[in-house]
Amino acid sequence: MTDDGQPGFGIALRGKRAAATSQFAGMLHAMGSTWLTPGREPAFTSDEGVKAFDMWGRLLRLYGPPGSENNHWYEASSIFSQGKAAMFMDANSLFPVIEDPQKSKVIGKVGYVLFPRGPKGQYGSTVAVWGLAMPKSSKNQKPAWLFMQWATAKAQVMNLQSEKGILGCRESVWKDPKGKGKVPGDLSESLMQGSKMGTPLWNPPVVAVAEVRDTVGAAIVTSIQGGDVRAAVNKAATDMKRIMAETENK
Amino acid sequence: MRGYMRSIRRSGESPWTYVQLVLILIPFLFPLFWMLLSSFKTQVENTAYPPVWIFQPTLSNYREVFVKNPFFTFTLNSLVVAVGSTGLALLLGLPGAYAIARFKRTGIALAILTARMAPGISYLIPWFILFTKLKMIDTYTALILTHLIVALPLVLWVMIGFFEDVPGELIEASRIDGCSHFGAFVKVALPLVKPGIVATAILSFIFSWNNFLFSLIIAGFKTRTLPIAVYSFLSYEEINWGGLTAAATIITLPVLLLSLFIQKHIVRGLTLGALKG
Amino acid sequence: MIKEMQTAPGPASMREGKPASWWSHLAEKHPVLLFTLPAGIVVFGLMVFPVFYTVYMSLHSWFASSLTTPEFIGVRNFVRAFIQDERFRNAFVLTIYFTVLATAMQLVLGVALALLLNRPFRGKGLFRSIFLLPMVATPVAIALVWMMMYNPTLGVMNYLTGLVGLGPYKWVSDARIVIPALAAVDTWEWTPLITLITLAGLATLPLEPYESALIDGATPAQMFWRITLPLLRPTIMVALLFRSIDCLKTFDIIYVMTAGGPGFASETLNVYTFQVGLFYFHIGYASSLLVILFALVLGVSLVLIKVRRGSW
Repeated sequence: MTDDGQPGFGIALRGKRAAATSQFAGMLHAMGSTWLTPGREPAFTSDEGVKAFDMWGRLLRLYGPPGSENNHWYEASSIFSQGKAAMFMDANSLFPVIEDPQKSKVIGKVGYVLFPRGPKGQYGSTVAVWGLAMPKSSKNQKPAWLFMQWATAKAQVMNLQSEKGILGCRESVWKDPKGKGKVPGDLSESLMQGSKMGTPLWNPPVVAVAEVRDTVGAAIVTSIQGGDVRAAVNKAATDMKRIMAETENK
Repeated sequence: MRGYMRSIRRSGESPWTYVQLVLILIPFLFPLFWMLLSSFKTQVENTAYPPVWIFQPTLSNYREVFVKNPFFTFTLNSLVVAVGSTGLALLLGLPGAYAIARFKRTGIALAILTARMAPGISYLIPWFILFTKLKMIDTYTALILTHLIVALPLVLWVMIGFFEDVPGELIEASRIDGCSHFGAFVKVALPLVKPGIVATAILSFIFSWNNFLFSLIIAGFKTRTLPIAVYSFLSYEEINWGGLTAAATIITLPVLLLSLFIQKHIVRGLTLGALKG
Repeated sequence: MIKEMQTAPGPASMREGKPASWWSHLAEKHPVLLFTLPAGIVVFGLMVFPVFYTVYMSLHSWFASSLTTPEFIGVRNFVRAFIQDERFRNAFVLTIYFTVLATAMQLVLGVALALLLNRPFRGKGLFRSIFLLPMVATPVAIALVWMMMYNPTLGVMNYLTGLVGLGPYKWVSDARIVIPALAAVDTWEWTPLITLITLAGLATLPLEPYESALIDGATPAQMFWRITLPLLRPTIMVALLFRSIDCLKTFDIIYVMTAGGPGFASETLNVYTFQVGLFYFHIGYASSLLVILFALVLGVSLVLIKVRRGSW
C-alpha cells in the first residue's frame, strides 16, 4: 500500500497516555458521551463512553502501527506524512507538518474533513483553543489586560494565520481570503463547520487537568493493548473522582 | 620473523586478541556510529526499511539544525554553565578535600556519599520554588548553582583520594621550613595532585554538559542548554531523524573528543573514586 | 630534639614571636575549619537545606498550582503511598526490577569483559578511549538514538534481530519488555565502567596465590572462583554500590524514551515523583515520595556496604 512496497497502516493516532486524551475527546463525544455530568461526576463510564474507548483501542490495535501506545503526535504525524498510514486524526493545527514541502511525502494528497459523526449522528468535533489567562494574583493587571487585547486582536491573528499558517479563532480572519491563504481549502471549510457545532471540552474540565489526562490516558493505553476496557474505564473514573475531590472545592 | 611472532604470542598479543577487541568494541560503538550515519541521511533514507547503509551523505541536517535553531546560543549556555560550575566546584572543593584527607575527617567523606544518594528531584523542587520566588529562573547563576550540587561532591570525593596519596612527610617538611597550612596546600599538595585535578575537572565538565533534569526545570528560554534543546527537537520537529541525530551528534561530539584525549585521566578519576571507597 | 621541631612547625612569623595577622593565626589554629568552610557553606545551603525542606514538606499537603498554602497532615502522605496508591506500589516494584536487572547484566558482562581484557596488548590507551565513550555520551542523545533504533516499524534493532530470525519486537512500546529494553540501554552505557573498575582491581591482585595454585594443579576455573573472585570482591562491591544507587535513581533515559509508558509500565519511582511534583504540582505528596526513594537508596547502600565488609 505504500510506495516502497511495505505494507502500510490503516490509521495513525496518538496513544501516549495524557497526550491521547485530548484527541480522544473527539471520539468520546462522537459516540455520544462526554467527560462530566452536569453534577460533575464522571460521565464516560456509560455504554457509549466505553464504546468510545474500545473503538480507539481497537482501531490502533488492529489497523494502527505497532507501538501506538507510545506514540505522541510527532510519531503519529510522521508515520502519516511519510505515507505509511491512510488516515490520521489529530489537531488541525498540525497541518503545516503534513504540508511541509521539505519533509512530507503526502503533500497535496491529503483531504481534511470533520471528525466522523457517531452512530446517532453526533458530532465529535472539538474546538481546541489555546487561551491567554491572567491569574487573580497578578501584580500587573492593567498591562497584562492590554497585552491580552493586543495579542488576540484581528491584526495579529491575521498576521500569524496568513504568514505562518497558525490557525486563529477570529471568524473575520477566516472570512478574509488573505486569512485563508495558506490553509488548504477543505481544512478551512471543515474548521468553520466544526467551530459551529463542536464542543470546547477537548480536555476534561477539571482543575488538575494534567493528572486527570494521565488517568484517562491510562485507560486508553489499556484499550490499545487489548485489556479489559470496561474495568480500565471504571478505574479511570474512580481516580478522576478522587483527584477532583482533592484539588477542587477548597 | 618467526622469533617475532613467537615473542608476540608469549606476550598475549596474538592476532586473535585484536579480533576479540574489535568484536567487543562493535556493540558498544554501534549506536554512536548509527547516530553519526543517520545524521547524514535525508528523511527519505532515514525512514526507509530495511535500513539504508550506503547512500550519498548530505550536510542539510546540520545546516538545518544551526539555521532553524539558535544552536550556537545553546552551546554557549552549556559551556558557561559547565565551566562555571566546574570552576566553582574546584575552588570550593580542593581546599576542602585537602583538609579532609590531611586531617583524616572520614566522617565528612561518608556524608558526601550520602549526598550522592539523594534523588536529584529532592534538590530540584525546593530550588525551583526558591528560584521562582527570587525571580532567578532562567539565569546562569541559578543553573550554575544547581549544577554545583553534582560537581562539588564529585570534586570532594575524587580529590580526597588523590590528596591521600600525597606523602605526609613532604607536607611536614614544608611546614618545618616555615610554610603556613595554606602555603603547604598551594606549594606542595596542589602540584602533586595535578593529574587528579585534571581528571576531576573533566568529569565535572562532562556531567554538567550532560545534565538534563536540572536544566529542564531551571533553564528557560534564554539559558536553555544543549540537552534540553535536543529533547525539544523531538517535539517541534516531528520525527525528523536526520535533524535529531545531527543535533545529538553535535551535543555528544565535544564530550567524546574530550574523553578521547584525556582518557587516562578520566579512567583514573573514575576508578580511584571507586577503589578508595 | 627532632620531635620538638616537628611539633612546632608553622610560619616563621609565628615561631619568632612576630606579630601575626589575624588571618594566619586563624589558619594555623583551625586549618580544617577554614579549608572546609567555603565548601561546607555551599553544601549546606545547596544540598542539606533542600533535603530538610523536602522532609518538612513531606508532612504537608500542598497543591501548588492553586492559591492554597501547605497544610500539615503528618504522615498521611506516607500512609497513602503504601496503602492506597497503586501507582506508587507499581513504581516501587518497577524500580527494583529495573535496578536488579540492569546491575546484574552490567556486572556479569563487565567482569567477564575485564577478565578477557586483562592481558597486555598494544593500543590499550586507544581501546580504553573508545570503550568509555558510551559512559560519557550525553544520556539524552543516547536515549533518542536508542529510541530511533528501537522504533517498531523503522528501527534498525528489528532489522538486526530479523537477521538472526527473531522479532520483530515493539521494544519500549511493549509493556511486557519495556523494562528489559531500558535495562539493555543502561547496560550498554555503563558496562564499560564496571570493566574499567574491575581491570583496575585486577591489576592490584597479588601473584602468589596463583603461583601456589598452579603448583597445586588448580584449573583455571578453580582459580577464578576460589582466588580471583574473592579477591575482587571489594572492587566489585564498590562498582555494584555506585551502579545500584544510580540505577535506582535513573531518570534521563526512561523519561526521554517512554515517559513512564506504555501506560505506566516503565514508571519508576523517580519518574513517578517527577510527574507528581513537577507536572501535577502535588508538592507535599511528591516530597514524601522522595523521602521514600531516598530511604530505599540508603537502605540498599547500607546492605551493600555491609556485604562488602562481611561475607557473601
